[in-house]
Formats: sequence, structure tokens, C-alpha cells
Amino acid sequence: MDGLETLLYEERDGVAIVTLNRPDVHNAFNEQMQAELRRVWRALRSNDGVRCVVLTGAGEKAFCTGIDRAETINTWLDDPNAVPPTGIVSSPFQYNDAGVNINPKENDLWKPIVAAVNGMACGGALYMLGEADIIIAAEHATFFDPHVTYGMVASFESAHLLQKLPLGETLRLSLLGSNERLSAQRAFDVGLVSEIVPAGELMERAMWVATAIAEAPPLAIQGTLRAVWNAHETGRRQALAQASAFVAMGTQYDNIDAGQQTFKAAKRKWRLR
Amino acid sequence: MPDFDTILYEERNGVAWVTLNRPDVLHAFNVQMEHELAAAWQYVMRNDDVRCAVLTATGEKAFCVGIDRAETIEGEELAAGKKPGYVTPWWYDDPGRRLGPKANELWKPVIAAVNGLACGGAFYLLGEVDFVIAAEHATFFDPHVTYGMTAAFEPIQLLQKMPLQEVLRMALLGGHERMSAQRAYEVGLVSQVVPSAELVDTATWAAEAIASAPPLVVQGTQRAIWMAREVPRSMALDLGYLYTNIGTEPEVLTENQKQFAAGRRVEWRLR
Repeated sequence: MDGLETLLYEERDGVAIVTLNRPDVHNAFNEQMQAELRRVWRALRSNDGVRCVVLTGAGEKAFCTGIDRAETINTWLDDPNAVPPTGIVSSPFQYNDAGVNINPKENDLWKPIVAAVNGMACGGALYMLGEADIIIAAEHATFFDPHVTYGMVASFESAHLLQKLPLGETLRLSLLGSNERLSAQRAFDVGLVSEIVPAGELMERAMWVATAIAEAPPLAIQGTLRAVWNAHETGRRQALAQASAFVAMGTQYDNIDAGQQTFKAAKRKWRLR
Repeated sequence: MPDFDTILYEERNGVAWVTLNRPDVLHAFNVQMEHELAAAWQYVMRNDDVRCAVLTATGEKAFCVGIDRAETIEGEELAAGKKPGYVTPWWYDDPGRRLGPKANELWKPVIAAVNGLACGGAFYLLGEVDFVIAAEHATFFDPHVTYGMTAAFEPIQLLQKMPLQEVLRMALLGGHERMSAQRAYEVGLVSQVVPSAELVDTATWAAEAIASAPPLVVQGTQRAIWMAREVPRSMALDLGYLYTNIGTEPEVLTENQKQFAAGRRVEWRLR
């Protein structure tokens, strides 16, 4: 992937490693990073060499701190006639949201995303964490949403958090703004994070998870991913009624055959979590 | 009572004990076991003496390891371009139609006592029980993707009990990672972890405590909760009036309120 300036991009063992790389502004996303993320997510849909993605931030201080205010809020405030790149365009019903650009699932990428949270994650970072499939955090990572403190409604962020957190935790985090940060430990306890590791082991652990996923037949992985997110949005009975369609689409001779060979082969190494 | 070969069935103090009993294949279910489980749940439904059920398995090694591959995954069928279980792409005879209590419309509480390994199709059962108690050495995983199969029914069942991310992690990592009883407890799949030797006693205590309450209010409460998971909050609250109404029997209410007024309380424990 050539020509990326705000992201680092690397492919290793079937895994694409996407690193938000604006550490001087805590990996906040400006317009360019938004455009580059959109380009990467779109390109990965048709890249059969990539079966899983690791998303992280450069440095140890921050994963991402949301939208780059220096670029977006200021231009809007300075010039009342300017059309904001993100925000209300012409009426309250015409709205440009950053999620269209930065979110993997909004860009219709249905390959698993493993987020390796290497530090602070706040505000718009919660868009990407809401659409990540597996979140691993360094011990010092923190999570918060300062919107209300700075006079802004937190609606997209809280909607994403609700996919991963219980209602009470989502409300507390969203309503307390900058006054409180969620620790990696509490995030683990309530299910936002599935594993906590020392900062020095974060990428190693994320790559273990991503590589294990990349080894499995991709059609089975993508079918499973779609089935779970679909079920998350529908009632239990409806989800079960639709499940056989996902199994049928995910069942092809090649991948079942490869899988059954794996079953017959030597015992697999597994770890306990 | 129906005859069973692959499961054990017993009734004690208002509780039906359904015990998977194919220990030589770690309690994998074959077609016979599917049909016997369906018969057992339907028998429990019609049997007024039974007010609660416990589902467990013999031995200490495994609770259930899902479908018995030896019987179902036919290499020749696949090689010929056919998908096992599918008559047409839209007509699939899934074992889930027979295995679980809810698939059989049994609306009496079922408690699972997980006595060891639970993987793959075991989640059909765990997803449809009302709560799960596990032995300390129990582990949980779903190997579907590792063996080239889409995991759809199993994680959908798990979504009824676990947060989204834990479901995704288990489904996507396949055979590479197992969830400990401790993590299963932390994220809500399991409501209590006990030493292996205390598993049966703990399940007995919980099941008999439930069986001691008036059955219609227990069933109404159970149905109200499962209903509320599938509909928006405002609709669930509207329907709440109906469930309260259907579950209220004036005589039972009067009798139990007398106990309350007399200061009589059951012995309770703290969890």
C-alpha cells in the first residue's frame, strides 16, 4: 500500500498491521488520516493475501484521541461560511460523520480486526474500538470520552460503546466526560477488553491472535464474523432462523476439507485464557 | 417415561436430572442422543411433578464436545459437492432443532452443571439453559473455524450469555484458545464456579430452591426475561403487565403472602 503518510502499513503472515502514526498529536485523525483509513479498509476487501488485521497506534502514549480538533473545529469556527469537513453540512439532517471514513465495518470490510490499544483511547477512538472484533490492551491503557465536558453531545461514541459495554458503564463513561477515565482493568472486567498485557508484549500478543485467525480457512472466519454481528442486532429467534444461511454460505469443499485435515493431524497447541 | 440409551434420566425432589452419558466419546451427540434429549425435554414439559431440571454429564472429563463427527461429517458427500445436512441451500436440518430445552418449547428452568470440557455444539445446550454452574477445571471453546466450518449457531447461542467481544474472540480463535471457568465467570457465561466435588450439591441446592417456588410464577418470570431480550425495552415493559397477569393465581398469592406477613423467610445464601 503506497503513498500513506499518516499510517504505517505492513503485511506479515496473512495479517495487515495498520498503525495510526501521528504520535505528536496522540494519533488524532485529521482529514488525511480519515481518507487514508478509508482507502486501506476498502483495499483490504479485495486483498486475498490478508485474512486478519491488527490496528494500533504509534508510540506508547496514545492509541488515538479522536478527531484532530486543530484542523476541524477551528476552520469551522473561524469562517462561518466554511463547509466543515466533519459536521453539519447544510441542515441538521445533512451531516458528515467521520465514521464513514475511519470505520472498517462502515467500509464493508468483513475480515477480523484485532485492536492493540497501546495507551490512551478517547473520543473518536471509540468509533474504531466499537467496530474492532477483539481488543487487547496494554496495562496502562485508559478509555474515556470528553465530549460533554467540551460542550458536545456524545452520540456516535456511546452507540459504539453500547456494542461492547453494559448500559450502566456506557452511561457513566459518556456522562462523566473528562472527569473519569476507565482503566484497562475495569475495561477487562466489563468486557470491553478481552486481554491485558504489559506494554512490551502488546504487539506480540496481538500478532499471536491475528495469526491464529489468519491460519483458519478464510471463508469459515468471514462467515462466523458476519453471523455474530448479524445476531448481535437481531432477536435470538430471528438470528437462529438465519444461522443456517450463514453456515450454507460458509460451507465449501475446499475449506471443510482443509479443516478436516487439520482435525486429523497432530494435536493442536492451545492456550488457556 | 421414555427409554433412553445415551442419556440418564432421574427425578428427585421436583427436579429432573438429565445426564449425557457417552463418556467414551466425551459426550458428543449422535442422532440418537439428539432425539433422546428432545424426548426428555418434552417429557419434563408434560410432567407436573418436575419444576426445574439440571443438565450435566457423567464423569469429570467432559460436559459435551458437540456433534459426533464420526456419524455426521461425510467426506464423500462433501467431495461430491453436497453440503452435509442441507437438502437445498434453504432447507437445513440443524441438530439445534432437537437438542435444547427452548427449541423443544420447555419453559421450566434448566440449570447446566458443567463438569469438564464444553466445546462446539455444547453451546446449543448452554445457550438454551437458564444459568450455568461450572467445575473449576471446566473449559469452553469453539473449534469450528479451525476445522473449516462457519460457527453461526454456537456464537449466536453464546451471545445470549456473553458480551459481544468475548463471543467474537472465542468464535474467531477456534481451537487455539480455551476459556477458563474463571474468565467464563467474569464475563457472565457462568454464574458460579465450584470445586468439582461440589458441583452436584451446588446444582441440587439451586434447582431445589427454584422447585420450591410456585411453578406458574417461576415459568412466568422465566418467559418474561427471555421475551425481554428479544424486543425493545418499551415493548418489553408493556408486555410485562400481561406476564404478571398470567402468572398471578389469587390462591397461591394469598398463601405465600401469609408466609411473608408471618415473618417466615427461607434460608438464603450470599453469592
